[in-house]
Amino acid sequence: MSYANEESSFDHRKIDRSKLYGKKRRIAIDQDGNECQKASLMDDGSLILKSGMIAQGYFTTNEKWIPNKDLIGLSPDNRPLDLKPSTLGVATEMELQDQLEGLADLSVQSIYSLEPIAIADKTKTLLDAGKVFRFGFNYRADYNEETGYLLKNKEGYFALIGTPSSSEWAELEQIVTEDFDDNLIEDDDIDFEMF
Amino acid sequence: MKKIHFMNKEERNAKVAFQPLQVNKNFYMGLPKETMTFKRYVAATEKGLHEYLSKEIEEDYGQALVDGDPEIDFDVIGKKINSTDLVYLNAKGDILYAPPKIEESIIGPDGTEKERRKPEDIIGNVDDELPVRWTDQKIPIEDVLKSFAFKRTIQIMHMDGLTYDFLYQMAKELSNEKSMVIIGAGKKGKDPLIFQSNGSPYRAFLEGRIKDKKYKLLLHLSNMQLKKIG
Repeated sequence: MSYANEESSFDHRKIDRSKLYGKKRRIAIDQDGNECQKASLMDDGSLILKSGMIAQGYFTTNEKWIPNKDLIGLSPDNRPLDLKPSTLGVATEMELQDQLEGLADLSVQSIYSLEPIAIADKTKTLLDAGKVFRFGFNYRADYNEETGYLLKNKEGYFALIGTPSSSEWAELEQIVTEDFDDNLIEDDDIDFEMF
Repeated sequence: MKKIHFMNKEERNAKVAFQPLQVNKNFYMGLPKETMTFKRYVAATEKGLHEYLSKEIEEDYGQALVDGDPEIDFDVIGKKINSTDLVYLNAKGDILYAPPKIEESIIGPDGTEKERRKPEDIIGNVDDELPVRWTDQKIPIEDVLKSFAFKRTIQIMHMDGLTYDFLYQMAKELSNEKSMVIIGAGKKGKDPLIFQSNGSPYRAFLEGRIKDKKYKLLLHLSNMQLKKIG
């Protein structure tokens, strides 16, 4: 990381909820007390699909399979995008954040606990004072650079990585209508409570 | 748009709408000038899997793969998979025709199983008879953002003129105080929010923003504090 022409470096370790609190998992048990395997029955009933029997991929309109390695990143208006290199091991410019709305609006995908290897004085002073930095992040080369935020709390240094999300201003004249789409479906297992 | 039953600090309650925030996705994978579709298809039959072939062909297995295509069933491979139904197989690989017994496995942070028990069904509590409540715990925005990781954020929105006033006042108060308030479920507002049956419990932090007569009420949902792994 680089701020005001001074570089800092950190060791990083990915953290998630299951590593902090553990988790719960539901298991199906057969009549002999053994754990069941899950499988899929095709809609025409012709085949039971077990692990290793399913593949997936991208096809053209004339059913030609395109290997993933041949696909490229495209913008929403179909323009080819440049491959963005990994930011790991490269000094990445950070911006000091005056407002924290960007952090609040981040759709977080991964969290890293950071251990400073070498931290520049100015950067350390600002983090100690509660300031937050934003930076571009790419774990491996791909077509989408994510957004990262570097912060410090009483536990240590953390980097939150994700994609910005957007919300809309609500005003009196704009009234939402109710529909019955299930737009907040979760697929994760139940896990421990946080507190 | 789904509904959430909400109570403000004056203990007035109303059902209001919510929607998840839109993630700004700015790319997709494909080929220029080609319309691509993503499909699942059959890659192997059971008799084409390594487990079966290695037992059936034994020591000639490697040579059989060189000489021919014993792993491919040309009648089935490549068949498009549309919708499927979940089925369970017993330890012998046979399909179960009666529902299996369900157990809950508790796995510790070290990845080892700590306990097995009968699962308890947990019902959702946000569109319930009891509203989710504005608690007396306000925390500066900066402290919340540096202490908790948000799993998701939903936007709370009005459904008529009365609920506009109801929500605008909340957003104004929180915006002026630069704080988030903890929203809790249950009679005393101490329970975490659960959005659907057997869904994950979340601690919820309400943030308000205003611009003239417009407002944003964002409910940040967290199931994890920012702390180091021991």
